[in-house]
Amino acid sequence: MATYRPGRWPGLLTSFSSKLAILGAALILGAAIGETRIPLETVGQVLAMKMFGGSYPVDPIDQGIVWNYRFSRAIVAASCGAGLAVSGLVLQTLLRNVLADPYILGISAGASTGAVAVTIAGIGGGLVSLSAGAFVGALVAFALVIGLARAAGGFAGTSTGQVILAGVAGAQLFNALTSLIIAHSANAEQARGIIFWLLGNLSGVRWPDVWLAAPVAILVLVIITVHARALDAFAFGSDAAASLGINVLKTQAILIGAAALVTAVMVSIVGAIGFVGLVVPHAARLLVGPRHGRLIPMTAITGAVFLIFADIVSRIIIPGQVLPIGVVTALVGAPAFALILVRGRGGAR
Amino acid sequence: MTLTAHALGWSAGRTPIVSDIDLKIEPGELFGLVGPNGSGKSTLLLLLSGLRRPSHGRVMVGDIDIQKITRCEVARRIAIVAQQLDTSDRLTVRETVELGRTPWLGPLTPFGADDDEIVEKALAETGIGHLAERRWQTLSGGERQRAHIARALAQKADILILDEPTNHLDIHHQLSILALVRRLPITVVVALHDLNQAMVCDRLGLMAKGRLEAVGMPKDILTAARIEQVFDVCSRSIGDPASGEPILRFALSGEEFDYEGVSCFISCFGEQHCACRDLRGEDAEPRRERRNGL
Repeated sequence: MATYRPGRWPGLLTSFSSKLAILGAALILGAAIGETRIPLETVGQVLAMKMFGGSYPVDPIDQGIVWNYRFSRAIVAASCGAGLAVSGLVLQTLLRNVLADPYILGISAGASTGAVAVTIAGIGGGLVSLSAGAFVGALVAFALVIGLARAAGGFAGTSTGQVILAGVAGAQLFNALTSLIIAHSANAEQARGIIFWLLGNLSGVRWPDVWLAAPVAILVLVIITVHARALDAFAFGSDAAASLGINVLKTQAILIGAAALVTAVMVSIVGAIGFVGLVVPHAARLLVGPRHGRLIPMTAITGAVFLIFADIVSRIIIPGQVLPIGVVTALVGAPAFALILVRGRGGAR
Repeated sequence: MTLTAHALGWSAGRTPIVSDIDLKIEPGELFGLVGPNGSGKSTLLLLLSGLRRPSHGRVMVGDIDIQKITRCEVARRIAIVAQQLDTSDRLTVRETVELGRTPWLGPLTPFGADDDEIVEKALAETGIGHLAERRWQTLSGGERQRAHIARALAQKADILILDEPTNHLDIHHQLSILALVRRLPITVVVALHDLNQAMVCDRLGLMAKGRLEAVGMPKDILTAARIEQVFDVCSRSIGDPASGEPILRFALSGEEFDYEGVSCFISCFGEQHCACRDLRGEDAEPRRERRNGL
């Protein structure tokens, strides 16, 4: 394999276009596969008709399934997968911890609590949107976890074990708060809906969700890509990054803010999906190495494709029933997580 | 470019770690910093590199206060290799050295031909050109230290700060790192533990308890009296039989022990006499005759 040289744009562009092609193929598969058999030709016709105009003789029901139900869902799954995966990557790099991820660090739990506080407990009096509540919850949870880790690590700051332990504590606390709010304020029907949503679920997703998820995912990807070189500089720690001219506090604030934003938005749409942010960056690192110029697009695309396929699996694995997508990602993610733990112990990484 | 510290101090909470440092490092000189563990050498180096904000005083590079310019502008002037820099990323040596170009590149500026040339030169200067494609995890301690120095050289700064670059290295690697540091045409500030190795510096600063005790030529700084005072060891300068160059020999001072109710005290190097003192506190005559019995 040719060695990667940072910032060689032509090389990046060719790999970028091939990534877009893979993403496009995954999206079409997401629109094509499901319980109702719809021929690929029909799927192509529907997509072509909706995106580029023209008219084909397509059954309006098929049209609705492909365009409104499956395709919108595939785009949200892709945005969500890409967003959560790059969040995990950013957290792993900035905290220098192979186990960091929005789910493990309690950010997803905090976002859930924020969302539930707005929708069920009515905090904000209807003036605060669900996503804003989730964002505040995500930031509060992250601040708490990092504060706890720093307090536990003393003057030396955040060390490997403490961040994860603090994250576990934070996630437990916020999950408990979520349950408390639901038990206290929700009626039976609300509670059922919320609990299903909390497990991670794309069932209710339609086009309006796309217009929230996709722009946020793209915005966050752009922000993180612009900081690729700064993220590289964190390889030897934050002091080393500072000695290379990086404004550490500003970079951390921007990138962690971006990670919290994308996590919060995704949680507010589809609930807390675990393991994507943890496992995907590691897989991408195995494929393209540690330099962020290549790692960020690879992580984003792998995350997007992974979640599109996880969603397909969740729709078809049990006939007549939709499995929460979080169950599918956990079924893949938990063994992968165990593998990372074992390898980390052996000093392989 | 001169590097100056004015009444510099830094405290961790309320505990002062370094205080009242006044120091001027001249362009092109090799300045060594020696002192016991915990004397504040590393903290002083972090302050000089701008990585810690001083609690008191200031650091000037040329005639600019380094707290008043951006991190990036500091990084173009000062490069630092701190202690214990490690990574779990599977970076190659070349990728590590390329990090040194960070302060000169904008977020979207591509890596250019002159950047490649600078990286190549830094690899060659540190003698690790043949390791360029090796992964970080496969390197020995000496090779990692060289890679860090190469990364700092690729930064093209005027001043290079090294915190105990010979730590944990075998004698060959220690000497070759020192030889490399001496060859460098730029200003180098280096913390060292080995006082004999510190002799090669143009000037030395001796630190004790967070203060700069003395600054000057190595032979004027490393006197027996000062070494005993600061490091609590006895030292003796002996000449190399061939060249006559001074070599320091060290021994623990003040080994006290109890002998038949008499507190004894072996003087340095143990070869003179045993000065004993009565436990009642009265000064006793040195009892030379006891020496063989001890």
